[in-house]
Amino acid sequence: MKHPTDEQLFRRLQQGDTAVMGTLFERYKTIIYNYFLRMTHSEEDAGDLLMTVFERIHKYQKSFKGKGKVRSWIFQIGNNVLKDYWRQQKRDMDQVYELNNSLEFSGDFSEEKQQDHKMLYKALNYLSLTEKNRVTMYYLLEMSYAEISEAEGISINAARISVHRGLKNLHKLLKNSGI
Amino acid sequence: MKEQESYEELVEQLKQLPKKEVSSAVNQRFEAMEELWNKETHRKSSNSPKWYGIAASIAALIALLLWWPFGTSIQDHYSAMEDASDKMAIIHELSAKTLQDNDVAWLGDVLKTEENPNIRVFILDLLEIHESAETHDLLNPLQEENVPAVQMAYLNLARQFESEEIMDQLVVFQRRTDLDPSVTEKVATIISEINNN
Amino acid sequence: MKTTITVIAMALLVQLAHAGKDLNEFKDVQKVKVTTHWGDLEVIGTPALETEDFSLEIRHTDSSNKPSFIESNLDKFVSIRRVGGQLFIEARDPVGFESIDMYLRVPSYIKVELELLRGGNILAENLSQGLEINSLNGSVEARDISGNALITAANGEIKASFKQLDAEKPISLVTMNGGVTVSLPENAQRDVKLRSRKNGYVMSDFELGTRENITNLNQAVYSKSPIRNSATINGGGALLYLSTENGPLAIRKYR
Repeated sequence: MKHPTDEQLFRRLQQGDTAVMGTLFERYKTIIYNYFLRMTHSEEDAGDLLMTVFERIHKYQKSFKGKGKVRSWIFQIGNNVLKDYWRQQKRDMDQVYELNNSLEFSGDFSEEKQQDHKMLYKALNYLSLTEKNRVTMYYLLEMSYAEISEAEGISINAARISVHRGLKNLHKLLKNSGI
Repeated sequence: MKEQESYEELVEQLKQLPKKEVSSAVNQRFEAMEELWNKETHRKSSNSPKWYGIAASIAALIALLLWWPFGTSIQDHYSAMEDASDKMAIIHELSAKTLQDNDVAWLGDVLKTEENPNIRVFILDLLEIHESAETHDLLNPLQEENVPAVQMAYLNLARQFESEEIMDQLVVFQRRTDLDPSVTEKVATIISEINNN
Repeated sequence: MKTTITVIAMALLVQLAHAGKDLNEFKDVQKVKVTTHWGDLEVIGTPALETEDFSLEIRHTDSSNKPSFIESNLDKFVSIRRVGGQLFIEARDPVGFESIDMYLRVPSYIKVELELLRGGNILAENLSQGLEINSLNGSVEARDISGNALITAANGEIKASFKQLDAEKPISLVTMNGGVTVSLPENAQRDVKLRSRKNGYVMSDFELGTRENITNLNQAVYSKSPIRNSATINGGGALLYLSTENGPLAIRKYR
C-alpha cells in the first residue's frame, strides 16, 4: 500500500485532521532528535527542542502555503528552534564551543568503528556552531544547498561554500588528530 | 587522488554516524500534546456556527475570481524572467504555435530591448519562418545592432521584404565602417537583388 | 657565457613561476563575466573542494609580439570588480597591437559569461552552471559542460560538449562562418532546429525524429541550398538551436 506523501498528509492536517500530527511525528522524530542531539550533546535539551518543533508545526500549520516541500519547512522550523536555543544560551554562532558531554551510542559497531565515531563527534565539536549546523543539515538531514540557503537566509553558493569549508576543516582536524 | 578518496571516506563516515532512538519519555510527552490538540479541535468544531462554512466558501469563490491567473500570457512569463536561458525557453514555447499579429508586435518590442544575442537571433529566425512579419519597422533596431550574427539574422529577415521600403535602411546600414566583411557582402547582395527586381 | 646562461635560466624560472591573482575572496559570487578584446580566453572549472580554485593568470603580448606572463600589477591590464553577486573581469582597451590572454580557474558551480570583442580563441571547460559566450573572431570550444550554453560567434567554429544537461534549458549555438558541433548525453531529449544558409550538411549520431527531408543527412557533402529543418531527439524536449551562415552542423553523442 502506498504511503501518503508529506504534502498529502499536510493538506489533511490543514483541513482539520489532527491525527496527521502523529504520523508526521513518527516520520521525523528520529532525524530531528538526532539533529538536536548532535548540536547540543544533551538528551534532555534535544527532547525539549523536538517538542518545540512539533508545537510550532501544529501552531503554524496554516502558514505553510504549499510552496516547496513540507520536509524543507519542517527542517527550517528545526533550524529556527535551534537558533533560538543558542540565543537563550547566549552563544555566538561563529564561535567554537566545546560541548561538555560526549556522545556515545551503544550498538552493533566494532570497537574500531566506535572509536572512529567518537573521533568524528569530537572533530565536529571543533567547528563553529554555524559550520557544524550546516554540515549536520547537509549530511544528517540531507537538506539540499537550496534548502539550507533558504533556512539560513544566505545564497546557495554561500551554503555550498560553508558546507565544503566545514568538511575541509573536519578533514584537517582528523588528519592532524591532535584531538 | 588520495586526498579526494579520504574526503569521500569522511563523507561516508558522516552519513553513517549512528542515530539514537527517541526515548519513551519523549514519546509520551508527544502523546500528551496530541491529546491536548484533539481536545482543542473537538471544542472548536462543536462551537462554530453553521453559517461560517457558507460564508467561507463565498469568500473563497470571490478570491478565486479576483486573483486566479486566468490566461497568464507567455509575455508575462517572459517579463518575469531574468535568466537569458529561461527567456529563450519561453520564446521556444511561442515558436510551437502560429504567430498572431500581437505576437509579432511583442517580438518586435523584445528585439529592441533584449540584451542576449542568442535570443535576438532566435526571434529573428522565428519571424523569418512564420513569414508573418509584414512591417519593415521590425528592421529598425538593425542600425544599432553590433553583434555580427544578429546583424546577419536581421538581413535574412530583410530578404523577406525585398521592397524599396527597406532600401533606405539598408543603404544607411551599409555605410557603417565597423561591419564584418560577411555582413557587408550580404547587404550588398540584398541591395543588388532589390535593384534588379 | 655563464652570465648569459644564468640570465636566461632566471628569465625562464620567472616565466614558470607566474603566480597569477588569487580570487578566492570572491568564491561566493553567483556569476563571473569576463570581457576581453584581443587574446585567448581559457576558463577551467575546478571542483569546489580544491583549495585555491579561483585564480586568474594573464599573458600579455605587446605590439612587438613579445609575450610575457604578468605576475604583479595585474590591475594595469585587467580590472576586477564585484557588484553584488557578480564578478566582472575586464581587460583594458587595447594599447597598440597588444593582446591579453586570460587563464581563469573558477569553481565549477559559478555561472560564467564570456565576451570577446575583437579576436581570439575561447576554451571553457568543466563548468556546471551553464555558460554564455559572445565571441567575434576565433573558435569557441566548450568542453564537458553541465547545464546548458548560449553561444554566439562571428567567424569561427563552435564546438560544445555536454556531459550533463539541464532538461529545461535551451542550448543555442550560433555562428556566421564556421561549423557547429554539439555533443550530448545519449539520453538527451531535445527539439532541434538546424540552420545552415550555405555550404552545409548535417551529421547526427542520434536518430532525428522528423517528417522533413534533411539535405545530405549524414553525408559530408556540402549543400548549395540552405538547410532549415526541425527535428526531435528522443521524443523532444528543450530547444537545441544550431545555426550558421556558412558551414556544417553535427550532433554527436558525448563520450
